[in-house]
Amino acid sequence: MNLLKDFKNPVLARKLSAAIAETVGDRPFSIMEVCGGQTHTIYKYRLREMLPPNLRLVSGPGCPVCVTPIEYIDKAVFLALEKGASIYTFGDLVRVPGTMMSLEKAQAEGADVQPVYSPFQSLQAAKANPERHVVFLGIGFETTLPGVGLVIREAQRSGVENFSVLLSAKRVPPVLDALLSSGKAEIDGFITPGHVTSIIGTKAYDALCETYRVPMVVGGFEPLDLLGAVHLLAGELAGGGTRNLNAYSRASSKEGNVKAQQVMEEVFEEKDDELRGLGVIPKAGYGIRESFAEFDADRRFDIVTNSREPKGCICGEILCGIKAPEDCPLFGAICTPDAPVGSCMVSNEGACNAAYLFRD
Amino acid sequence: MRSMCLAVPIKVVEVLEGQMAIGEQMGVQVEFSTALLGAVQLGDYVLVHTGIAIETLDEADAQETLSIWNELNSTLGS
Ligand code: SF4
Repeated sequence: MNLLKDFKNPVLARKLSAAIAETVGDRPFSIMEVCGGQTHTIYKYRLREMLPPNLRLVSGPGCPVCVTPIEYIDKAVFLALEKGASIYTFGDLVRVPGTMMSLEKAQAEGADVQPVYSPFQSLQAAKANPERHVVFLGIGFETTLPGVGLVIREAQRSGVENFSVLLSAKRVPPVLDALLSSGKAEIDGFITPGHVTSIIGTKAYDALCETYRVPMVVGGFEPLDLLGAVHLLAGELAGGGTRNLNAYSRASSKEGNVKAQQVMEEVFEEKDDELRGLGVIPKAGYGIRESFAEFDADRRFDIVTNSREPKGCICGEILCGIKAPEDCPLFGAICTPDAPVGSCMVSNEGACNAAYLFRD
Repeated sequence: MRSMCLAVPIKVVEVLEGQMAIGEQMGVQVEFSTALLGAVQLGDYVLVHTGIAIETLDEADAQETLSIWNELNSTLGS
């Protein structure tokens, strides 16, 4: 079997699309795909065109680069330029504009900024260069955090002193809770993020389905994974169902990855946290526990910032599902992937980036 | 680079010491940590995200999902 190709099969996609139209009937519904990786697939394969017009897909807040506050970029730039730290980061982050400059720009001004694929590479770099202080930019949702936790634990075990993490760690369920309780975006059903769910398990959404009487289905990242999720949601919506279902069971279970949950529990603790455009949300983030305080860049350094959001950017409303990228006056004219104004244009998982790349 | 929330399915071709393994994806060999999984076997498909395997893919489950969707076709009569 070719696990990748089978879930792109265009014949099956057309059949699923027909089944969705037959199932959903003609009442209008809005479905939010929570994860930015799903948004990318939806634009790339033009999945919206395969759905009946009364079924609307809305992009959600699950793009880690997009929801990272601008202050975070400013802090990283400050650490690099004022404290002389070596910054190790996932590649996308270097291009996000800060209030004064992006990390890419800071690099041009002499800062040491290194894109890495894995947090482990940053710890290796710290071990290999004891004269430098290495800061890893730990951003992400639950998919990424266990790995960051593993690295912090390993740093403590091996007594590395020149390593810390600037953390901006977000949790999906509290963010969905905030979206639903605000009532701002009218969403009838959710496609929950597949790889976040691999870690936290589908059980993490049970309470949301019950409280808000809304159906949720775990979706993967291939075109058929998403159409399969929409198909299950269509059944729920048409029949008034509010179940918590799974269309990505090959990679996610009810309980999730218990080992990963244990690592997160050991290293991090829940805290109220800010998401860009969404404001401060109760319990939506993680901080580093006191027992690992020496690896927390925020505690280790006196960081001074003076942050301001870029004028005219509507990323916030896009992340809540209230507006679409095309509603932004800067979209495509002033703001492009080569010269991004807001964070939603930078990453491959950002809605503005996907809308621009795959525009007609 | 699409690293942040994507994890890619990779086939295990070698199990190493110290909770590491080597996998192959489209002809390219990659090394990753298996610290978040139980034991991995040669030939397993695992989901790797930022150099760390986060889940073992259930192939039987994948087949079953595909066959359910295949069934949809026949009931629709197209
Ligand atoms: S197009 Fe650019 S400026 Fe407008 S919302 Fe998107 S990222 Fe912000």
